[in-house]
This record gives sequence, structure tokens and C-alpha cells, in this order.
Amino acid sequence: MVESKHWSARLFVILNYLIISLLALSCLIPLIHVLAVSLSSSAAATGGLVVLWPVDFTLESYAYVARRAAFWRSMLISLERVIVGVGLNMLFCIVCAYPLSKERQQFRFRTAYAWYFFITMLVSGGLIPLYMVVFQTGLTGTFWSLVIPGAVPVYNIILLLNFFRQTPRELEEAAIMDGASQWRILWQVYVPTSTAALATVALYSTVYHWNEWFNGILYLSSPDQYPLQSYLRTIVIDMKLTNMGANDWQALALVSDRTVKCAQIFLASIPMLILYPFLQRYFVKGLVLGSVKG
Amino acid sequence: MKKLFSLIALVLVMSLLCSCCLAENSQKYDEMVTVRFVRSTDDTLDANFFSQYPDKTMTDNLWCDLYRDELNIDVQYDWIVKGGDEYDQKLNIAISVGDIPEFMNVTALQAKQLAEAGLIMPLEDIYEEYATEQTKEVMLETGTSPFDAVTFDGHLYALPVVGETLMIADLLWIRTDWLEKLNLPVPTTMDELVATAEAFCAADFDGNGEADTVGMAIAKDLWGQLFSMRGFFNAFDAYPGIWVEDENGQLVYGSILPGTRDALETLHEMYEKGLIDPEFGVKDGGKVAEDTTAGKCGLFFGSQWNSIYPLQSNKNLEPDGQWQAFPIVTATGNPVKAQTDVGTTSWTVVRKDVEHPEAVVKMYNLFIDKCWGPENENGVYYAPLDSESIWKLSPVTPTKPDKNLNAFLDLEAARASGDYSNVTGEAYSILVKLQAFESGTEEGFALWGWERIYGAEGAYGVLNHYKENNLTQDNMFVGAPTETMTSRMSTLQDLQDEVFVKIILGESPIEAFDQFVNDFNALGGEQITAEVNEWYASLNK
Repeated sequence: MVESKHWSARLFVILNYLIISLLALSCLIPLIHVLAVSLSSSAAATGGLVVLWPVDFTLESYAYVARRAAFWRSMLISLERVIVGVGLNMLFCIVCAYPLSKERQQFRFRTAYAWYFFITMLVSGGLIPLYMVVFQTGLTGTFWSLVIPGAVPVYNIILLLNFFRQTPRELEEAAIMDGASQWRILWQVYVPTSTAALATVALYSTVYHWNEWFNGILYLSSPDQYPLQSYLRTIVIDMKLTNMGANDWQALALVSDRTVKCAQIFLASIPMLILYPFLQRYFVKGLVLGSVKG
Repeated sequence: MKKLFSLIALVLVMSLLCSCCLAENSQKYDEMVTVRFVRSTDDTLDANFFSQYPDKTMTDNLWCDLYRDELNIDVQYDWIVKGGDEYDQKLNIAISVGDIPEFMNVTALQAKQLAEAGLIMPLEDIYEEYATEQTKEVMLETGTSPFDAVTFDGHLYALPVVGETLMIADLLWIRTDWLEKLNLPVPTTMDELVATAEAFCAADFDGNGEADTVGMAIAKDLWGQLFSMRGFFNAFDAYPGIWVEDENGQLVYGSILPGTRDALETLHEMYEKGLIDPEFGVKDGGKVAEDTTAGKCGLFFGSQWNSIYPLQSNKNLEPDGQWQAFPIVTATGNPVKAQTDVGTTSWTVVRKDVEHPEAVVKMYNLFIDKCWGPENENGVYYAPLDSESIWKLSPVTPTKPDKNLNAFLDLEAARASGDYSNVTGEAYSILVKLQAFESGTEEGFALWGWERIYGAEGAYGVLNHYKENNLTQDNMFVGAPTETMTSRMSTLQDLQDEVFVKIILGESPIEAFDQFVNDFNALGGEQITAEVNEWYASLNK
């Protein structure tokens, strides 16, 4: 950046850094707090003594989590879900976005099809009709109920569609001159020139599949099948105290164990923490820039 | 002729004997019967059972084996969901798409809706025929109210998963080591309680020189299970949230009684004096528990189990600290009654077209017999020391309502006589914990919370005092929610809580309470009261 000449410009830069740092801190501090609690003794955590640094440092909660088969089973299911779910998302996203990115002259019913997809973003059937569809198609209770409903991500399609439209027509025309079919143009011209947008879309759908918890609880028929976030939700959200039956209170001592909860939350966020730096560099570029620049 | 008579008599006796043994065996099916339940599970099963027996599953475990071997009943689940809220949600959705489970546990309201929709079957005949005497006795330990709640048009539509009523009554938990340090007596009146709270605040026991001690713990959910204010209001002869009889024998809503006004006024005064956390309006029970744990609070109204959670963590941080439960104080000079409510929160219903509905009654019989029967197998099937949650593996879990109190009384008797040989069943499991605590080991120290409940100074001693002296106020309305109640009550309760919190914080003057009483009646309260009294009158007919 050029050295600012005017004090107001300087102030602007300083304020910018300040505000952005504060925003970054507000994201970072909760995570550090969770990490600090997970490394503290249970009594210190329950007493609210832990802020950003562990009190009575101990790895006990991690040792406990390591022994919990349910946590690791859910972690595996989540990984499986991300691999299959993101794969399906990307496939449908690419094959839908490509024809929809064409001009009316090339694809006559483009507008109608575009609305067909778009309308689902504006109105949805609601929970019960959705459940009925999933139930009647026999998906409930299977892993596929996590990846097939929502396999066509319309928002991502629109992102990708706009990106495809910015790809210069010349590339396509050249390919046609060389005798390539539309299918081949898609996979050998458009996809390779759109890695930035594809990475962005892939990140979106990875985050979605990693974080989504409600479908797991809704569609699956046993906690053994829960993905990680559904599992975490069941341990993190407080028990409904007003509706406790006799003896449920015995559970409270266990449920109140914040250190173990925090250890599991922290472990669950690690994969995303690793993934972000790798994909993040595509992020800005993918959303706003075209393919043949520079 | 004489010979003939004796022969006939013999035959008669034989046939009687036979029918007896038949009755005994008739519990078991000749062929395997599959019952399909849905259920919820929770973290305690994972932590206390499955972590130690990783090869066991929900359908392959001690309880399922028992049902299979003793009754020839094969327990299967259509689905299992983790968490109570999640169970309600999933069940509601399953019902609305017509995927109704054969056997399920529901709330009284759900039972009513299912019965009205004609989706579940009446069970009174089956219950009469198949329930053993023992089962019937246990199920009636808290009176007929668990049955009344699910009896519609004279038919019983569900079996109550009975639970304890007495344990809902509030107690006063106080740090006795603080009382001793300040040379104060245990408060028995509201004035003494306020004075004690003031003394605790002034003493600054954590010695950090800051005025951060909270006189009395209170959470944003005034009637939650943690730091409930029910006991405080009871001191003023007010019974928030339940229905009580007035002098004319009519039922009235306990939140709009005159005593409520006095209670709110006193709470506001305490707030003004700085005896209540000014931020209580945004703190839930778990957050407020941080104060008691960190030694910033030494007095609150709560339940018998509070020594296990959250007080045990305070004990861990301050091993010299000591808590004890006492009866709630009086503000009026009259003997105080602690309010209770129906301890049964869940009922088992059976889908209309199920072939063997009686299977569920047989399972109730077996569950009750194994856990509290004469064979004394509680330590195996209910709460063995190494896996406390094992009873939850059964899809039906009717609890013997008096079991905790009985265990306490057994222990008291043993303490008085010095003879512990007669302590059996669940009381024995508790005795082992108490002895572990007394041994002074580190493991035993973690059981301090149990000693505070069942020990000589235990919380159950207070509950027993309530019971023996008739110092409890039951909820007199125990039917299924009435029509207006279903549509209006939650709104009215929200209004109530909002008004109450504002009065405590001083944002509204105390007159807002009178306005609330008017609003309550105008917005459906009057109608609800009429419906409740209609139900009450039908009961006495």
C-alpha cells in the first residue's frame, strides 16, 4: 500500500485494522475459551473460573473422550457424509449450472428451468411434507437420508452459473470449432478454468455437511447412526429440566461436565480449522473474478 | 359317600392349585411375541453402561434378555432418538405422517390427542386382567392422579410411568460452615432468612474485598428445577403454577393468590438491598450454579438432589465447606407447606391394532418385580454400582414412587439400631456409597453429595418431615390439560414470568401484580379456572 499522505486516510487505515482485528478476536475468543475449559479441571470450569487460560491444567477430558466410542463413530460418519455428500453436491451443481449458464438462443427453456430451481429457494414445503417424502421413499433410518435430500444445492448452482457466464464465449467457440461435444466442453474447458469457483462451492457444501445436525436427529433411527454434530448437540444442549422424570437428576452431575463437552466441541472443529486455510485463498477470487484474467 | 366328598374336595383343591400355577405361568407367552417400541436415550446410558459394555446394544442387553427369557417377549425399536426434546419432536412428526409406533411413551396431552383421534386403544380391561397385585400397589402409591390424567370418557388410555411426587418439594440449602463462622442460627422465618443473606453478603467469605457475594441464588427461569423460587413463594402461602383449593372448595390458580404479591414485594426488597444477583434475568440455572460452585453464594431454595449437582463441585473446590438442607422458612407464621406436583411425566400408550397389547402390562409387572419385588434383585437390575443407569435399558420404567424415601427410612432405622444387616435392595446400594464417603478416600469424597441426601443430616430427612407432618401442598388438578389450557396457558405463563421479573427488578411497581391478576382472568384464566373446576367436580361425583 502507498504511504498515506493525509491524516484522515491514515485514520481510516487504523480504524480498519482495529475493527477487523476486533471482529477476528470475537471469532477467536470463544474458540480459545472452549479450548481453555477443555484443558481445565471440572470443578474450575463449573465454578466459572476459566476465561482464556486453563485453570488446574489437565488432559483428563481428552482422555475421557478418547475412550468414548460414540464420539469417534460419529466422527467417521461425518467424514463419510462429507465425502459422499460433497461429491453428490458438486456433481449436480456442475451439471445443472452449465446448461443454465447458456444464452436463450442455445437453450430455449433456460428461463423456465432456472425458475424451477430458483423457486425452491423462495418457498419450501415445510418440515412435515419434507419428512413425508423422505419417509415414503424409504430413506429414513439410512445414511442416504443425510445426503440425498439437499443433494442439489440451488444457491451453489446460482453462484457457479454466474461464474460460468463470465467465462469468455471465445473459449467455448474455439472448442466447438475443434469438434468438442457440450459434455466435453463442460468437463475439459469450463471445469478446469473454474477451479476457483468450484473450490468455493465445495467449501460451502463441506461446511454445510459438517455442521448440519437436524437431519440426523430427524431421519435416522438410532443414535449409532448420528453424524458428529447431531451427536454433539445431544450432549451439549442442556437437559430439559422442567420435564425430568424421577431419577433423571442423577444424570445432571454427568451432563454438567463442561470440560468434556468443550473437549468434544474443540475436536469437532479441528477438521474445519484445517480445511479453511487451504481453501480460503480461492474464496474471494472465486466469488467475484472470472477465469481468464491474468 | 364320605369318600366321594373327600375326593371331590381333593379334586377341587388340585384344580385350585393348578389354576394358581397356571396364573403364574400365564405371564410367559408360548410363542415369541415381538413388541415394537420407539424410545429416547441419553448420555448417562452411554457413559455409565455402553462405555463399559461396548458389545451390548439397545436390543441386546440385560433387560432385553430378561423380557425374552421370562416372558418370551422380543423387544425391538422402530427408532431410537437421543434427547427428550428430540424425542418429542420426532414423535410428533412420526404421528403427523401416520407412522405411528406400536408402543410408545407420550405426555398426557399427546395421549389425549391420540385418544381423540382414535389411534390408541383403551387399556383398562387389559390392565385389570394382567397387572399383578404388586404392580397395582406400586402404581397407586401416589394416588390415582397418574391414572386420572389419562382417563378420557371413562376409559384408561395409557399406563402411567409412575414417578415420585415428594421429591419435587423444595428445600432450603444453606452453607452451615458460614452460619457457624457468623454464629447465626438456621433461619426459620423469612425475616431471619433475609438477615442471614445480608450477613453472608457482608462477610465476604472469599476475602477478595469485592462485594460479589450473592445473598440468595435465583435464576431467570423462576420455576425451573435448578434454583426454583417455588419454595420461596410457598413461604408466603402462594403456590405458583399449581392448582389449590380455596376456602370454598373451589380450585384456584396458585400464582394469583394474595401471598404471591407479598412474595414479589419481599423479592424486590431483597433486590434493592443487593441480596439478589442484578443479572439474574439473563442467567439460566447452569450459569447461576457457577456462583454456588465458586463460593459466592451460600443460600438458595432447591431440590433434594442439589447436593449432587451443583453443590458437589463446590465441595471439590472448598473441601472445608459444608451444605445442609432445611425445611423452607415461613413468612406468615403459619406452618409452611411445600408444593409438589404429579411426579408422573410420561405414559405408555398402545396403537389401536396391536395384537398383544397386554405385553406391555406384563413388562410393567416384570420391571416392578425385578426392581422392587420380594426377590430383592434391585442391585442387579436397577442400579448396580458399576453401571447405575442399567434400568434405563428397559423400554418401560415405572418407578416405585416411595423408593427413595423408603431407602432413607431403612438407613435411618439402621443408624438408630446400629444394625445394618437388614439394609437391602436400593438402600444397600446407597449404604455402600455412604460408607465409601465415611472412609475418607478420594473416591468416597466424590460421594459427599449422596451423604447430604441420605445421611443422618440428609435432605430426605426434611422431605420425611414434610410427609409425616403433612407439610406438602399437592397440585389438585391432575387431569389432562383442558381445552383453553392447551391454547392459552403457555402465553399466560409467559406473561406471568415477565411481570414477576419486572416487579422483582423494580421496573414495574407492585401494583403491576394486581393488573396481572386482571389480565390473567381476562385472557383465558377465568375460562381455564371454570374448566378445571368442572373437572374437579366430575371427580367427586
